[in-house]
Amino acid sequence: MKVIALLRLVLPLALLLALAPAGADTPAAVPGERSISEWLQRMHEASRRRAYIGTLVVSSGGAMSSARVWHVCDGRQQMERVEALTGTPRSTFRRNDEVITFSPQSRVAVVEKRESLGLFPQLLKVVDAAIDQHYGASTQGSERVAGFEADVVQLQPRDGLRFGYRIWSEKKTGLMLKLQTLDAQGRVLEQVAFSELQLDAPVSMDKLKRMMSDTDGYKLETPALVKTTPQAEGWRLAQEVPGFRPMSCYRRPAPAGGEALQWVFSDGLATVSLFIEPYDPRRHVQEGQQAMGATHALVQRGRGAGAAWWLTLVGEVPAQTLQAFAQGLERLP
Amino acid sequence: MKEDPKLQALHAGELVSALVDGELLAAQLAQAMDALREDPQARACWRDYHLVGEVLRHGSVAALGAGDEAFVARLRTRLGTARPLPAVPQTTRLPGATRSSANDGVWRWKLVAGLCSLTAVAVLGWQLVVLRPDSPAPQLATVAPVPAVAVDPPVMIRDPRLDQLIAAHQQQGGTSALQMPAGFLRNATFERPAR
Repeated sequence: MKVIALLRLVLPLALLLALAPAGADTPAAVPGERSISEWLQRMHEASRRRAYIGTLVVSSGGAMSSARVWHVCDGRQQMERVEALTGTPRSTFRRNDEVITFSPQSRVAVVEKRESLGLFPQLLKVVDAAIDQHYGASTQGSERVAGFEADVVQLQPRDGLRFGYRIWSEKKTGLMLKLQTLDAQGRVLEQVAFSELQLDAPVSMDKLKRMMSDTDGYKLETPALVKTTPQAEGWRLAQEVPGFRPMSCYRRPAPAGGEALQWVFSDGLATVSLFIEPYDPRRHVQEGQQAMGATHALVQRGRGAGAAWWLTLVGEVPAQTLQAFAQGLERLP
Repeated sequence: MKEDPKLQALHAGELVSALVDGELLAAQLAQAMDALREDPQARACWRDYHLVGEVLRHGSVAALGAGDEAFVARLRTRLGTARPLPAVPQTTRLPGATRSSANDGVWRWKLVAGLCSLTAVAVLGWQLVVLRPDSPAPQLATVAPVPAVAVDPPVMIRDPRLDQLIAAHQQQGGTSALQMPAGFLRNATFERPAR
């Protein structure tokens, strides 16, 4: 397993590191005293300041995928290249919040702007209090991942509406090397980890830029997303789900024609999407649930007299959290 | 080298299972036939697999012969004893208390694998409950040792439209503090298995 690295945010520590001979094992300063947001900030900073090349392995719900990852940054920009090693061949490039996914088989390149990726570190400040209120952090010693010593941090949910996490954070830089999502019984639902990692690798940002802009021979597609508000679309969450705040709202094409509203909530760590479509008895036949790894989905017709909408809820949360959202959703008069 | 008789029995069971599924090639087929000829346990295995297959296909035990009643009785007893799942000791958790993941360590996986054989019977029972009469009958021997979450199983949907919405969630919904260090990479890496 390999690791992700970050520079310490804490100034005195950074100084200490700078003064220490390169490669010296400066023990992480009392990791037990870091708060959740400090841990997250540290991991985030690591990916903003370090270059690396590694192999990432994701196992979820009995399926496993892996990819080769290149990451580089220059303080202002971050660039990433992700080459899928399993499944359909595809390569994804990211420059800050711009993302292009090339599918060489279909010769299609999907161009997106993912606003959520540009939100850091501001997002962290916004969700800070919520995270501390709904999760507790504890350190669990250290382990080696992908050849690097890592601090193990457990984020324990304080109620049954969210999953727990275990994070392996590289000792010197803070880079996240491994992440597990755990259910209430402590079982691993999903695992993301570097199996091999080269920190401070020579990654050329210019080369990545050239590759990202080389769309010759590809048909460019952009998902048709329209920013909107739930109020404008006539929806509200009459009963809030503790800890989850509305983050964004879009209209997007529904998978089988028509439009769907996507309303996104987050408690800082987990995310839930509510998809609302007008009910169509020809297409909307089967209600039910799906669970794969940490991702749960709930599909049902809107409740209430003459409900004419169809709900699909998706999130990295327990099924009961999705049910709470489904029950709380209300059509504005 | 002489094989451990226990291992041999296990091996024979696997062979018979694969035989029932029609997965064996020539050399292994001969091996399986040998096992069936020589090993009464393998023959019992063969009968049981077919019996359970019959029950799964027809949803009834009415057509069972007299010799099969013993099997049904055993199944009942084991269904009775197999639930609740003995694998996971339910301990009371103090607030804030942490422990390592139940299935994190390799040895635990092995333990679970061992228990799977015990719970397979429970899983079969669960399948009997949820199988609709019109659904295609699965072959017994391919039943995967899924965790026996036997209580009130919800309808599990397999729907490409749902898969698309899940993908949309993962692309646009990444408003999480974990998205930047890991979530984006995770989603770019992971491909949901095609159904």
